Amino acid sequence: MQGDATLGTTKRLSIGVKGAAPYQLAAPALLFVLVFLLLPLVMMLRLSFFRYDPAQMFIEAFTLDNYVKFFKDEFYQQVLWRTLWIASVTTAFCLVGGVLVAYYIARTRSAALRRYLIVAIVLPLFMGNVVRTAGWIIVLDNGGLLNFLLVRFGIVPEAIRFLYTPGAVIAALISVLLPYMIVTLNSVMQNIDISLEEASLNLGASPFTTFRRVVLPLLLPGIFAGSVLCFILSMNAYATPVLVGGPEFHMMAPTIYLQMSANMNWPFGSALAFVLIALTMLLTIGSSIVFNRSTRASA
Amino acid sequence: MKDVILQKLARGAYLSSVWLIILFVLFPLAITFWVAFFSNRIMSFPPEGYTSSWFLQAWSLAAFRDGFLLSLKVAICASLLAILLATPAGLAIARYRFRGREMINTILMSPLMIPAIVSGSAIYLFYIDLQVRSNVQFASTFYGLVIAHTLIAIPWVLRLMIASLAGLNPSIEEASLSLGAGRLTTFFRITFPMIRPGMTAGALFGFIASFGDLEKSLLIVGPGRITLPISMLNYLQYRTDPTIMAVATIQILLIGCALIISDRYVRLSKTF
Amino acid sequence: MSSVTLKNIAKRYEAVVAVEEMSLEIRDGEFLALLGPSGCGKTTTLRMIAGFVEASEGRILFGHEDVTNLPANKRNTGMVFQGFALFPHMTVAQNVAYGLEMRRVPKAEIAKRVAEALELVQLGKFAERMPRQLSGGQQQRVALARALVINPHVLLLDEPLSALDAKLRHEVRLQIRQLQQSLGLTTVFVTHDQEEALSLADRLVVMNGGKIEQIGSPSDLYERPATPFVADFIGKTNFFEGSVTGSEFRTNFGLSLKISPDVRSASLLGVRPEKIGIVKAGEESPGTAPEANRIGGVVELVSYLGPSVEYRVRIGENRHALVQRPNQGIGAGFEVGQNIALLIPPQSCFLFEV
Repeated sequence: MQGDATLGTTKRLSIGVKGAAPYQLAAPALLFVLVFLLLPLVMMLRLSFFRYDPAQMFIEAFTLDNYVKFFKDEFYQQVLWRTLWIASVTTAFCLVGGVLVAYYIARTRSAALRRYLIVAIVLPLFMGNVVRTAGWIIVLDNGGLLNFLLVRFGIVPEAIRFLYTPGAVIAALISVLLPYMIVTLNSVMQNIDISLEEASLNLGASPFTTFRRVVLPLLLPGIFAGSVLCFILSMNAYATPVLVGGPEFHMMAPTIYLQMSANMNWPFGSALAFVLIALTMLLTIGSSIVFNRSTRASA
Repeated sequence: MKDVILQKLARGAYLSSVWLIILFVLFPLAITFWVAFFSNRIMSFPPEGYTSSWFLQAWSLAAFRDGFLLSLKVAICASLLAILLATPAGLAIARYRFRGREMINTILMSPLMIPAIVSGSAIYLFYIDLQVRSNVQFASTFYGLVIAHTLIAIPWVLRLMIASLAGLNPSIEEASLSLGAGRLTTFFRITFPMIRPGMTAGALFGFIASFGDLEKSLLIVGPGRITLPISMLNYLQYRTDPTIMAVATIQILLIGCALIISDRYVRLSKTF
Repeated sequence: MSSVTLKNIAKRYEAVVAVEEMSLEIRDGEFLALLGPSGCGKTTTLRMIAGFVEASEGRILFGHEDVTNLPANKRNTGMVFQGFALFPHMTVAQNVAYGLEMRRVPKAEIAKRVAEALELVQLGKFAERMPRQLSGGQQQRVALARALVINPHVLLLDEPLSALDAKLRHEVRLQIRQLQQSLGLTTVFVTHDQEEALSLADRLVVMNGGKIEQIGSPSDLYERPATPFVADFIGKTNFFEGSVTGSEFRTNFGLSLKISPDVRSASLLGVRPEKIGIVKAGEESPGTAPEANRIGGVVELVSYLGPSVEYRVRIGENRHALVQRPNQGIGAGFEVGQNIALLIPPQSCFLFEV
């Protein structure tokens, strides 16, 4: 999940602030993360500039070959392109579905139902992507539920191949990522006072016009945040494309793994990894800049 | 009059779409659970009957059994280590205002933001590098795995710690001090009991996040060892049968229990 | 004809009755207040008129038209919400124009009517501001303009003053009343503040626990409360339990009070603090109150309120009465511990059978 930790303001500080105290407290965790995550990332960046050697694994150098190879090779262009358009389609569907469900949950009159729905939506997030995608295999397989129903009710004469198609990957990704979108939208939705909608109705607007002219504009921050989140998560997806897309369905994350393990081409794999992380960072930072600028403009 | 009918129809369409979407999210888990009890040898419909024998069958398969046990051990160690590291950090961030607070918070949350396959690869390469330089084995070891999983758990523990600390009234601690208790006493007798629920929930979430991880473990786990998600992935790439669904169901149940337990400490619906 | 008629309206939620069956006729151009404590059903009733709550039974008519089954956005009511509910992402002018846009009024006319409405509430210069740039009182006036500009059948005000501070409240309520009178708009006003209701309304409906306690003009309700609840909720009342024997009311702590002859039985007597006179013990009752009941007591507490002085007087073992007298100037009042006599005129006593 995106680390969207809004720290908020500490209204009153704890007592006895010896200047060093907070740093001492945070140091162990900070060191741990710096050494075991950030340092390796920096080293991997350096590795991406090395040259690949089948015998030695890699030769220390400084070359842009790996990146050039990635952007020039048609195969890898395809991989990147496929990753991006799958992420876009998935995000678009998640947005539409997410807005509907988030609106429903936020406006449900029964507080108990609202609690149950939020828990029901959030629970799957923790089950693990492999487990969640496994259910889709059951549905989409040739002997699976969907084909069984289609054949049984005579809609098609024999089983259609659903698995290992882009459609399958998108459907499974939508099902996996919707909760992220719903949760993001729901928290914004809760802050939109219902009396605004009532006022709109009272003034003669239909429910749909009310939604379009009053709710949607106020929901925009959530739509933005949720879309960025869903896009990033689908870009980085591993288990779902592998299981439901099949070995010939190449997206960025599985490709990186292949380079690291089967091909043992670490320099190239590192370069790929960095393209992916660069895209992710670009989106995260870019979106927060755009968002901050737009909120500052309207202030 | 026509408008009123249209309004009602539209509302009907809206309600049914909402419930269809909710089902769309939930049914993959439900169907996994269902199929795990099918007595069909290969995965097919309709169910010939029901049996729970696949669960025992799953346990007899080394890959699953070993995977389950390793995932369990790693998750427990990782969440404990994460608590040790992240609790003081959470205290620092939630309670003090100091230069670099936002930055430190971002750094500690970064494992969530970096694509898992990227961080998994980076850590793997780092281990190899350490091995080459120091002859100390990291990759393909239990401890190497725990370290990587601790990275996953830290953001969760931190996030829940900060959330639960933010809700604490600082005047309670001030009252303790004004009554003469020292800072350490205040921490152990006043602060700690108040943050325990947040810590417990954080540990549970860290456990869950670690248990479910796939991409970070892929490269580090090494030959001879396997985690449950990896074993499931490997199996599913080639065949689908009730056995694997039983395994998946076990994971669902385990994580479900962990979530229910942590709900007693921190209301899930409030955290989101 | 912009009257509003509620015929046998009720609202039930599962086991809870929010509004018990009631009928109400709001006259054309009338300013009606729905008054009562929280949870009494006044807001539910208002929202039923607006169409946000569906009545469990009964009919609602605007003039001769039955609107019971009309959805909220088709009823042409103008509602001012407690929190004002101004659209935060639209300017003041856009807010006020919204209702007109929904009615497909041509652009030029919208501009004209919006300008007029804003002038009416003295916010003509604020048309391009955003709601968050306005003070509470200004926001309230925008909300009012927005509701008025559409020429609604009825104006509905849901505790519109409760979000304002006390001084502003007083100012704004006079403005609302002036506007309403000059426009002749039928208005329903919900409040829990009885002073507001008394000062603004042509008629009041006092509600409690989903039921109507009494309907009447402010003076009706104040001088002739129909139930102890009304006597207590509007203004203040001293209550004494007891029973009627002959032409007297005997309280159950031993006092006998003469009352109006036409009352046969009652178990509760009420009298307002300002109707009770005080004289020094031993002093003669003034000529203006010859048949007033005379009760001895001791002053326990004196509260100086400015225009008036409030006395808490002990009249029996653990029995007290609240008396309010106009402020006669320094030195003219009574002191704590002073023995005095209370004068209670029979015609000022309320008598209830509970």
